[in-house]
Amino acid sequence: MSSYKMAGHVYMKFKKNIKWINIFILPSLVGIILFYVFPFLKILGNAFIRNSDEVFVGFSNIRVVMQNKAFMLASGNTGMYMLVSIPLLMSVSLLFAKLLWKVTGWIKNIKFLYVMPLAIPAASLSIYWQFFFHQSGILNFLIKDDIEWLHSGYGFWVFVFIFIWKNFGYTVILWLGGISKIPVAILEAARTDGASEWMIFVRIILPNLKQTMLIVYILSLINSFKIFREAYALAGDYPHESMYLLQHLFNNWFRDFELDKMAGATILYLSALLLILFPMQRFSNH
Amino acid sequence: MIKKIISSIVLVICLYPILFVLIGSLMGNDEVSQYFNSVFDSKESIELFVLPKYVTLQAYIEILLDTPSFFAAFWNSVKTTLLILCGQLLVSLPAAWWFAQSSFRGKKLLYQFYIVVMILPFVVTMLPQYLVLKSLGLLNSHYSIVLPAIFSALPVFIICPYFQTIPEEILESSRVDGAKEWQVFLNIGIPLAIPGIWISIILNLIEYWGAVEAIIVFVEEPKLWTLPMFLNSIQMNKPGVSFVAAAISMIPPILIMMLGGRHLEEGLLNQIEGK
Repeated sequence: MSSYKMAGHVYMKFKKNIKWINIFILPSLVGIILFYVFPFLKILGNAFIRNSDEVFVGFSNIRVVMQNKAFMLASGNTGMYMLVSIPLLMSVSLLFAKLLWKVTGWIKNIKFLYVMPLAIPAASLSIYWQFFFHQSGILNFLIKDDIEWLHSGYGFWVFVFIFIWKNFGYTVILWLGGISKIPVAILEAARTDGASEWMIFVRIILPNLKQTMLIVYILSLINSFKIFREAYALAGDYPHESMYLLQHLFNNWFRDFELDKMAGATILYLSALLLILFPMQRFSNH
Repeated sequence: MIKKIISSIVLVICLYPILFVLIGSLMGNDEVSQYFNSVFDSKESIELFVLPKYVTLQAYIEILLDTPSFFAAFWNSVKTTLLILCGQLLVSLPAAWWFAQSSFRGKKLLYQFYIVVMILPFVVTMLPQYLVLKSLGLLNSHYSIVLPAIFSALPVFIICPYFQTIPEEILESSRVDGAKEWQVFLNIGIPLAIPGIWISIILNLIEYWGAVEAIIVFVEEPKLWTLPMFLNSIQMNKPGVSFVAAAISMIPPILIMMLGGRHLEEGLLNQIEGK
């Protein structure tokens, strides 16, 4: 066989393998590579050099970051906040979804109103939260107390509350969506077997909600980082130290142009996130 | 019955803060100031306000006539949000179609990579994106907040399952009839994904209408600020104006919820399940 013929053969095979459908992913892929893959690789390099003179410093940036007090405070707060607020949000909303599940009548038609809090920009509501949590504001008026909510250790719980208030409705809706996809026949069968409503909930509904739970968890995780908007609107760049978050720290480092620390911390957080996400990916495959 | 009562109470808790701001915006400056003083300057207990004593549009007129920076911020918000939403659809709809329909071998792995990208918080992407935007010369412009947002992976994640659930026979029959891939995509795929597209538009409008993270870091020029930044900068100096600006900022998200909120009620399809 002549090499010419062979080249033609290879070309034909190549042409057959190029599927035109692959053009569909191209714009998105180019953007993802430009804004995520490529810069992260660059950061991965930056994390191990000193940015001022590009000298290789090994793990020293990361060590410096881990010994930094502000960093430990911000990581601790952010981690603690996520650890408390995400499970709380998921369980409270699931209980309410169970309650709302079979409610009929007018409430059924206005369910989307529960999602309204998510829609309102944090900056629009900070004026209300100021009133609500002020020392002589609405909350203290209601509970007849004199607590300094915003500028003390209570600040942490204020933001847990705001997070749950904001994301509650949509999370309930997601749970309800998951429940509605469970085949009615299974539920009916259990009911005729004499299972109580709680039994049905625990034994049949919950196990069938695994996929929904994963989606709810991912969205809660994504939204938990957005509490910075409320914190920023209510307390600006320097909130009470119980609510000093990673985003505050990064903004302050950014202002002081601490690129070494930022690169080190970015790598640390990326690894931490991947560690959280890895088991999840496996969970989803089963 | 008890269920209905509890549901109603929860609904009031959900909506009261929003109503509070809307009601406050209809009070005159005097009434708001009076109320402010009763809360912030004295230790007397306050009255819960429910309805304004006099409904007036005075504060609205003041902000619309005398506050040009408000107009600028409003326009900046409209412009950036619209650009982001349109760009996202142009980029993500084909990408979602690819994830649903192509037979590429590494597809599943790439999809998991997209999920990771979607979850990355701004804290993590801030420095990388700063470096890219800087080298492209896009800092301190609206591009710096619009471009990265256009390539967000969330719309792909939301819309893809709608394409996956289209029965294979429908697609095959039109392919056999000689329809090109983009024709199948436009004529069959998109109409069937409308609910997903609605959800994506609503969630992303809400997200970027209220966003501040990127603009704090990438944009120094106050002229380019969006509404949330404007609101954060005027708080408390002029209570009447604050209320009105806050109320007007709520209107676009409330409108989109009224228009398409019902689509959210289906929940999300199983996005993570591999095909």
